[in-house]
Order: sequence, then structure tokens, then C-alpha cells
Amino acid sequence: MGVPVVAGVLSGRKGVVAKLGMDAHWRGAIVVCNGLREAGMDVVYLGHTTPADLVAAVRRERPDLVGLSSLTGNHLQECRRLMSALDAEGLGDLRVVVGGTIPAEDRDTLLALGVDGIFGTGSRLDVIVDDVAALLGH
Amino acid sequence: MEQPAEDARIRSASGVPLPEVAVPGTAQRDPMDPAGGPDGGPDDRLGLPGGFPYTRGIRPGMYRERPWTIRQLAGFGTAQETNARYRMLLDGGATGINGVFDYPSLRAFDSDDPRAGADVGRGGVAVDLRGDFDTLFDGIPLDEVSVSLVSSQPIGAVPHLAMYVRSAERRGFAPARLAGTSQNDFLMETAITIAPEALPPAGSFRLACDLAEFALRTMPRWNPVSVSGYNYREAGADAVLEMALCLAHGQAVVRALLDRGFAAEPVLARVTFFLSAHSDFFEEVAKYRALRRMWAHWVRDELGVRDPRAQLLRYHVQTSGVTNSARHAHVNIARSALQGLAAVCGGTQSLHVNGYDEAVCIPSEHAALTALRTQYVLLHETGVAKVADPLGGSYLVEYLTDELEERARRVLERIGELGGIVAATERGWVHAELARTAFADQKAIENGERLVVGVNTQLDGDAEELDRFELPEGSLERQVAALERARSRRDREAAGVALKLVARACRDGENVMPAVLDAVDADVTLGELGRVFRDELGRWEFPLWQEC
Ligand code: B12
Repeated sequence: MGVPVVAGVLSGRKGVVAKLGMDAHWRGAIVVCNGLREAGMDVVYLGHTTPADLVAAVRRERPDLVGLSSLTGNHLQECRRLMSALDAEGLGDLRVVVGGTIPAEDRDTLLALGVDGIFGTGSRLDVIVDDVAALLGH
Repeated sequence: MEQPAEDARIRSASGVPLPEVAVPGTAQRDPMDPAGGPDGGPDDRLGLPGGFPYTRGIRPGMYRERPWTIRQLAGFGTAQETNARYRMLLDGGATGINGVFDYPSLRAFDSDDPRAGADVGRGGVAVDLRGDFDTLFDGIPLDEVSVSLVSSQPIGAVPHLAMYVRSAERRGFAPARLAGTSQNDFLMETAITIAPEALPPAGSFRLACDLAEFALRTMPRWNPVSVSGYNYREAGADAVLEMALCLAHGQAVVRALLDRGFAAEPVLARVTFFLSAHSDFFEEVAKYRALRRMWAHWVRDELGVRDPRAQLLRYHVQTSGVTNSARHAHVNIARSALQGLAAVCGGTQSLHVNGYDEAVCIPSEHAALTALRTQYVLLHETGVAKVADPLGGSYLVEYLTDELEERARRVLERIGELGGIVAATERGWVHAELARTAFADQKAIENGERLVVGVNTQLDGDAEELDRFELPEGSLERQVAALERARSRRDREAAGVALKLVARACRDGENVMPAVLDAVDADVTLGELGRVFRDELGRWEFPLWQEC
């Protein structure tokens, strides 16, 4: 069953995780935060963030990864706003992944916006950890 | 190697060890022994349907007397679009309305709030003004059809009910004739869903009680609080935590209203519950039975209330969304039907069955109608409606009923030690418990301890393509335009004065409802009311998730 998480594969890495717009479903985001922490990542959970808050958090925390979570269907509009805010601040190189209720047909749009990975409903934590590790050049 | 008969690893979904076969003696006390009560007194655990402690159901004839209410969730886009969906469901055989609101409306933000933009009309209907309720319930006889307002969070529930009442009055339905429910659950605002600018638990709880006080005085057919165990379960709780949180919260609401001077009976007759139907069939049936028993005992033994109508735990059930998979969505029809069967075997008063597209989008018309028809399969074809408490006396179900009761009682005691449900929330205990159980559940799926078809087993075949529900074009724009029109047309001074009076009621500790009713008459918007509540009652930093 799946790939066992390599302990510490994300040690020394930092992530910030945020919810998009007014979406209030925290279960998946918190589960993922805990999964990343178990793999060694230092994760700061921001909860709801405006684009300005996210930029401020990125400047403050200097993360390797930004993780966004949305289940209400607001992901296209909200990701567009966040990605352009990061770009405008010269933070466009940051690795960004998105999870939640993301329909297959929106994947290309998100990738075109500069999102590096998409983890929809039913994603396994070990797969998320592995993909993130690969993305961060483990 | 052969497994021993008592394999400690084989447990129910919430951890109750299961015997190979249940026999007399599996349950510690024989539920069928008429003298099986404590100290050899009469049995006070099972009784008959309609008799104390209502383990077997709240009415003697159960569904022979009255089938459960068929109450399918509906809501998206604008009031006009949702009104059409309500009518489609009623025409198709729904017997009650279950109205959901979009996220800005739940949290009392206006549709043109900069933070609301991408969520307007998603997952529920957008409402801003009393006028939206005129459109939402247009043509629906509000004295005949019971209406559940899934206004989950008190900050939204208070203005929603005010708008509903004022709108109904204009159509000639006096408040006393309105039958329905406000969800109005402070845990939804402070633990189950996160939100920007949540009220602090005590402030949210106070608003919930203000609504309840108003409804108890003027709306005898209205259930002012629906303690929403379903939502606690979906956030991560197991059956035991769902039960304990429900009891702790229900008891806190009742006590707070007694402190406001009410007699116990009218309050108890109106506090209702909303429970989940998860996948472990026998455990779920046992859960409903144990909860009824625990509630009845609390009412009789702790509050000393003897009126049978005040001892009944009445509830609505929804099949569990989180068990549904996106990959093979049509399998969700079977899953939800089985969960619905558990709900009615357990004696629910009302039921929503999820659409097969639950894990993908809000229900398309086809998914909604299939779910509605599934309810009629349960009602007409399975035979479950013919005999009350069909599983009563089953060694297994009685054992699970006892075990869940015992386990929930221990958690309830823990909440008591923490100072009750409001204090336990303030301290972050509720959040930590939910996060812990949610993570454990994810782990159980990933290590194969819990098998879920289409998630970690039976993965053959491609993911199914669905005709996804799409939000009607232009919903957001129409809603915002109507809001701006109403703002520019209203008497600004009157609206300003009305808002000040709401603020004053908040500050002075008076019931806010009268001032809110006046405010919605003056076309004060939902978001303006929300801002006053936040300014006056405070904004709360959620307990640090870092620690969860
Ligand atoms: C649980 C649940 C709830 C709970 C939320 C509890 C909580 N604290 O989270 C409750 C019952 C409270 C709830 C309420 C509502 N819900 Co809800 N809910 C769900 C449900 C059933 C499961 C979500 C879940 O937690 N799954 C378990 C977790 C572990 O999975 P996950 O969140 O998908 O996360 C995984 C991946 O997506 C990914 N992931 C997620 N985030 C991130 C982040 C990063 C960085 C990464 C790498 C990966 C990642 O990894 C996770 C592990 O696999 C879904 C449907 C479904 N089956 O998916 C509907 C669903 C999301 N809800 C929905 C709606 C509409 C609502 C409401 C708005 C309804 C209403 N109007 O009242 C309300 C209110 C919520 C609000 N105010 O915003 C809709 C959204 C519709 C849409 N997208 O078009 C859905 C799809 C149901 C439906 N079909 O109608 N809900």
C-alpha cells in the first residue's frame, strides 16, 4: 500500500498553509499540516488569509512551500488573486501547491497560473509528502 | 494461523471491541430482563417505543404513525434560483425544506464584501436583505411546509431568522404559525468551521440563546437550536465524540435558557439535534438509541422533569459526506442508501440523503432527484417503516448501545471537568480532539486499517466523469447589483439608527432580536449586522492549530 513516508524527508523545510477566501473546511488542511510535520517539515498554519496577509506571512516566515486549501469551488478566482500578489512582490519563484475539491478540468488553468502541484480529494499523505519532497529538490 | 475468537483488533468504527458472535451476556446487563435496572429495579434502559427512556424510539407506532420527514438540502446562487430548486424537490416528493446558505451569508458578510467575492452563491444561497427571503420562499406555504434554515452560525442565524419572520409576516404568516428550525450552533462558529473574524465562544453562545429565547416566546412551532453532531462528526469526531459533544452542548443550551427564566418543559420540547449516519451500520443504529436514552435520563434524573414530551431527543439525520468518494461517484448511491437505512432503523424524525456527486460539487439536479428517490426506496420498499425499532433486542445492537453510552459518558464527564462546552471550546480542547481524530482517521485509511471502496481498495477502472453542477452564470453580479440598489434606495438615517440600537442591545446584554427585527425592516444588510456583532461581542483568535 503506497510508499511509506521516509522519516524526516522534509526536515529543515518550512511551509505555510492557508485557506482560500471564505472556505471554512479545515479538516483536510489540518490533516495535511500534520502529515507534513510528521515528515519533518516546520509548518505554519495561517487559516484564512487575504493576498496581503499571505505576502506578509511569506516575508516573515521565509517558507520553502506555500500550501493552499479550498473546498468551496473558489479556487480559480482566489488562486489568481494570490498568485498575482506573490508575483507583484517578486515572490513568484516560491513553490505553491493546492489541495481540496479541485475538479480535473481546472488543473491546467491552475498550472498555468504557476501552481506547482494539485492534490484533490482522496489524495494520500505519503504521496503528498513524496511529491512535495521532489518539488523542493530533495 | 487461526484467529482467536476474541480478536482485540476487530472493533467497530469508533473502537468498541466486537465479539465473534453476540450472545446473551455479551452486553453486561441483559437488556431484555424486566428487572434489569440498577439495584434490581425495573428496567430503565430499554422500555418500549414511546416509553421511557425512549431507547426504542419516541413514539409507539413510529413510522406507522408518521413517516420521517424527507428533507433534502438545497441552496445555490441567488434566492430566485434556489426557490426553483426548493419547488423542484417539493414537487418530487420532499416533505420539508432544508435550506443552505453560502459562506458569506452564513458568517454575516455582504455579497459585495471584498473577501466574499469568490464565494458568493457557492454551496448555498446568497442572502443580504429581508427582500431576499421574500424571493427565496415565494409561493411556499410556510405554515404547511416546515423549513429548516441551515443558518449554522449564530452570527448569521440571528439576522436570517429576523429576515425570515419579517418576510413571512408580510405574506400573512404570523410567527406563531411558522414551523421549522434554525441550526444556530455556536460550535459551528467557533470550532467546526474556521472563519475570518469569528465571535468568541461566549459571545456566539449568547447570540444563539437570544435567538432561542425570542423563538420560544413567539414561535411555538420553531426549533431554535439544532445541536449539529453531524458537523462535529464530519470535522473528524468518531461516534463517541459526536455523542458527547451533542449532549454537552444540548445540556448547556437548556441550562442557559432555564437561567433566563424559562420553565424546563417548553425549552426541552424545542431543542433538537442533527446527527450523522456514518458507514458502520450497527454502531450508527446503536448511537441513536444510546443518545435517546442518555438524554431522557438526564432530563428526568438531573432536571427532574417528568413530562414525557420534554424527555424526547428529536433529530434530523444526514448521510455522511466525508465517507463519499470522488473516484467512483456512483458507488455513493449504495453508500448513502445504507447509511440512510441505519438512520431510519435508529428512529430518526427527518432525513437528508447525499447526492452521488457529494465529493465533487453540490448536487446536480439528477443527483438530487436520485437521492430523493432513494428515500422512497427506504420508505416503501425495505419494510423498515412497518415495525418500530426493528433491531431492538439484537444482542449486538444492545451491546453496542450500552458500550457507546458508557464511552460517551466518560467524554461528557471530561467536558464537565473542563468547565462545560463553552469553556472547553475557549481552551481549544474541542479543536484538538477533532484534529486528533481526523488525523487518526486519515491514517487508518492510509495504512489499510479502514477499507473504503474507491479510496484504498477496489481502485480498478478510471475515475468517473460527472456532469458537474455549475453555478448559473451571472449569479454574483445579480446579487451584488440588487444589494447596491437596495442600499441606495433605503432611508439611510433610519438604517443608521436601527443599527445603533442593535449595538446598544449587544452592549447592554439585552436580547438582540427585537432590535434586529427592526433593523431588517429598515433594510439594514446582513453584513452590517455582522459587523456590529463583531465590534460589540469581539473577534476571536482561533486556538493555535500549531498545537493540534
Ligand atoms: C467534511 C465536510 C464538511 C464539514 C467541514 C468540517 C471541517 N472542519 O472541515 C462540515 C459538515 C462542517 C461542512 C460544512 C459545509 N460544507 Co462541506 N464538505 C465536507 C466533505 C463531506 C468532506 C471534506 C473533508 O473534510 N474530507 C476529508 C479531508 C481529509 O479531505 P479533503 O478536505 O479533500 O483534503 C484532502 C485533499 O483535498 C488534500 N488537501 C486539502 N487541503 C490541502 C492543502 C494542501 C496544502 C495540500 C497539499 C493538500 C490538501 O489533501 C487532503 C488529504 O487527502 C466535502 C465533500 C467531500 N466528500 O469531499 C463537503 C463539501 C466540501 N462541502 C460543501 C459545502 C457546500 C459545505 C457548506 C458550505 C454547506 C452549507 N451551505 O452549509 C457547509 C459550510 C462550510 C463553510 N461554512 O464553509 C461542498 C462544496 C461544494 C463545491 N465545492 O462546489 C462539498 C463538496 C459537499 C457538496 N457536494 O455539497 N462540510
